[in-house]
Amino acid sequence: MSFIPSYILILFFIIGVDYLAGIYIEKAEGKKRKLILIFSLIANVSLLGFFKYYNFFIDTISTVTNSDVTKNWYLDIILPIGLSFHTFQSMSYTIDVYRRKQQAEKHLGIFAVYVLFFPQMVAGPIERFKTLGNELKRQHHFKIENLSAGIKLIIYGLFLKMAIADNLADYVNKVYSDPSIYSGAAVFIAMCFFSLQIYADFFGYSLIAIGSARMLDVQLMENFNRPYLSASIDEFWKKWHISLTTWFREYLYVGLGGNQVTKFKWIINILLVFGLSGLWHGANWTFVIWGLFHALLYLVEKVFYKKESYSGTLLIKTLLVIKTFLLVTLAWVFFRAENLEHAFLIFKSVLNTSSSIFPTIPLRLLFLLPLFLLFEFVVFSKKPESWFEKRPLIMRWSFFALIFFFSFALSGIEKHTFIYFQF
Amino acid sequence: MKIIQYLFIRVFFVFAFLLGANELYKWFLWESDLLENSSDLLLDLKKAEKEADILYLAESSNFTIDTSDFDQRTISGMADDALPDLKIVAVERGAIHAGTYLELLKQIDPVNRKVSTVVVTLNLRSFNATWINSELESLLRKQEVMYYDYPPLFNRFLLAFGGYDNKSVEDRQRLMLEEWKTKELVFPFEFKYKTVREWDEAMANGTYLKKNGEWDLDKIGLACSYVKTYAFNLSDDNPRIRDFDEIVEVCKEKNLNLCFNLMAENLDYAERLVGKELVWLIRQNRDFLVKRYSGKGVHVIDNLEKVNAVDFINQDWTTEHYTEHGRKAIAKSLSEQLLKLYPAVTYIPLTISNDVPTTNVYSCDMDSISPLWRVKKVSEDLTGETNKQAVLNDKYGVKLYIRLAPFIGKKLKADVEYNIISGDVTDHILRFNIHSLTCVERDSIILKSDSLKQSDHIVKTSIIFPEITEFTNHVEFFLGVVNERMSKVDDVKISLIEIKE
Repeated sequence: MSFIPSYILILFFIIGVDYLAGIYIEKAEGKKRKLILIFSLIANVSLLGFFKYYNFFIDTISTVTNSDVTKNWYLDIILPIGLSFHTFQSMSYTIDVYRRKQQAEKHLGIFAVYVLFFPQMVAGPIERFKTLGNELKRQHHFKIENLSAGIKLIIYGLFLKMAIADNLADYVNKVYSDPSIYSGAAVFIAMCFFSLQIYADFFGYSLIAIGSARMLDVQLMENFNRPYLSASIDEFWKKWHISLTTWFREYLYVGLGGNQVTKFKWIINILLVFGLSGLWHGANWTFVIWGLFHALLYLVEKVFYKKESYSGTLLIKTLLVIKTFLLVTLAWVFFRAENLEHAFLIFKSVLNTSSSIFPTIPLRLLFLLPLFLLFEFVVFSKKPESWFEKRPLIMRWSFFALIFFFSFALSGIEKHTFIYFQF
Repeated sequence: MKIIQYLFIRVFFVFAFLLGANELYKWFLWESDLLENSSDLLLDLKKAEKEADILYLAESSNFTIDTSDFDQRTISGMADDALPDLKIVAVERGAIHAGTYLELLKQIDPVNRKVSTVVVTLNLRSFNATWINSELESLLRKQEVMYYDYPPLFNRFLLAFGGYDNKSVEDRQRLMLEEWKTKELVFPFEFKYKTVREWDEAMANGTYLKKNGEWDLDKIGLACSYVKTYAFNLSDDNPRIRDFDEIVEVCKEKNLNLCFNLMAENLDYAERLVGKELVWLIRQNRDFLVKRYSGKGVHVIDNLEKVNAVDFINQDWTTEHYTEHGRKAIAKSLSEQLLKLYPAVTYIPLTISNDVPTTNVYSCDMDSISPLWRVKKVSEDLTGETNKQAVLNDKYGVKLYIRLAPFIGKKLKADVEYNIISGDVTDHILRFNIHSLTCVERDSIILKSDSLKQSDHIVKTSIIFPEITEFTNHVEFFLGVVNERMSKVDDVKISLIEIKE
């Protein structure tokens, strides 16, 4: 992942192809429409495939054929930052135009800003044209309320990233770098910490993106809705990285026939959608396994549990939430591991009883973590911003002053880039 | 009016909050953050300014020692012993440079302090493009953030948000390569290489060949390293010069005496490996620094050529790491300079043994080399000890240097003689290391006790040396025991004799 000035041409290419594709799809009829769409999709997917998956493809061939010849085919390619996000965003537009859900945008500037809109172009949320495009087209005015609301979201996002995710990352990185030397309990804590780290990291980024857009009087979609309070995997995916999940549902799952097909084909569809969703994250089999693992959990839930299983007393709901968290945490091991061997080493290490080595948990994390859990799961019963709005002035100011203070005074000393920047 | 009131209340609360938060941070978190961010030099400085007369700011040249040094004191430690009435305290860390010293010096209390003089190491290598654009630089800058002359909370803010020179390793490498490629070297005479890159490439393309015709990559690598390290012309636009200039200003403002301690470089190797043009550049840069800073009222201690090639610990790399003799040479000129600033204090001159003789016979009475060894190591550690072979050989044996450069092309043998004056006669090991520019040839002989004369305990043996080439530097002898009891030895004599065919 890197920013290379010449890579701006890639963005211009995507903008140019999809802008024209939108206009011609709208004008065309019959098979021609489909052909233009396919051309546009191939252009986008090829670009993504080349930059993101070419070396992965060569690597897989080398491994399968056990041949050294293919090793010479590796290319020194650096993945352009945010490519997965803006190709998906742009593709959603052409598909919507093809499905006649969206009118083609005639203004090149508006379409270009839709693809390039800076707060979310690097790591989402992956917007649809019907929301962001229309937001961009309306008149914008400077409003003090937007500025204030945006700053608040940014401050809370910084808190999540700098005070929570970065501090957790120090512990997680330490354990994951050599899991076999640590006690099973330490590895288990690292697994749970990673679940919280990736949430704080990605949710923090999303809030900063949403807050930045809000300051410009642009409303972006929500990307998270307290996913770790989900009682099932199905519910988790409705609340986690919502913009990507809905993208896959609308543009792939529905395209494959959704659940209006035979049971066998439906199972294949689920496996395909989750598998591709994993592959979208990164060119590594660990991501594919992560996606398939979720697919398996989803299918098991759908087949063996009925909806009523998820209702009941608070105790039962709590147990279900814990179960879902633990399952998701298991899956994150594949997501975080460098390769499959590493993932299995982590699973093996969590059962390690021969070591008693336990990395020190920084004091500030022991203070911040309960605070974070309190905010996330108790205080903000819905969205953080709705909680902010309802509080009296002094309470709001005190809250943000403290949160801002914690964001840097208690942030991790080591810097970690946003996890989703690598995708 | 209402809007003014509205703003005033908010600004007041923000200001009050920041003040309070700064105090809270300073009391509860600042110190632990300094430690965690490896910025604890500031704590060392704050402690030193209260107890020291002289502050010695240094990188690894001060504290790096050779494992076989008998005298393991630092340069500042030796100077401190030489001037017992003054307290010299070092604030030191490897790889730091003028940028770090500057930020630290800004933090010295202008009034409430004991320190009256600051000695800053002036390391010529730190001015080159390699060090300026080193991959360590971002880490150093990160550590320096906490020394900035702002409220601690604001420094923490800068640290958290990367508010420092945080270039990537790739960016730094690009800048370094750019400078090597484009910055023209200026000589008052005709010289065929215009830039570091041209010179480096010329050195890299087979300058040195082994006897079998293969490239001697070790020597080539070292020669290239010398070019990249020392081939530059100092000028006003060098960032380190700007830092040193500012150091002068800060010390003036704080009414501190300032000494720049210019460290020794291995000019002998620079000339033998690369050529006299490189030595010219080094000397010209030295002259630039001495002239510039003497003119600004700084006491510049010129140690550039005070250390012999044998006394550089890293024979295969460019560093300012010296053996005890090298450190002592620098400590001597440092203490002599400090004596000029404090003429009324007691001075115990540092004696440096003539252990790099120019004659081919070297007789050693040991006292001049390692008085500590004579008193402590032999009588306390070696007598009666058992199973200490490895330790004894390296640490407690007799160590001698003889420079071999005067014998290039000759065949030599060494007659070694020493007297065992106490203890049992036991198996001895006499090890010698022939140090060349890029390698050390090791060999040893074991002297069996039953082959030794038991009567007078005088041991005599001979060693035939490998061929002395133009890159041979010196031989280092160690005398120890193979096992069990060690005897006290004295009157070690080593005679180098040319073998004529």
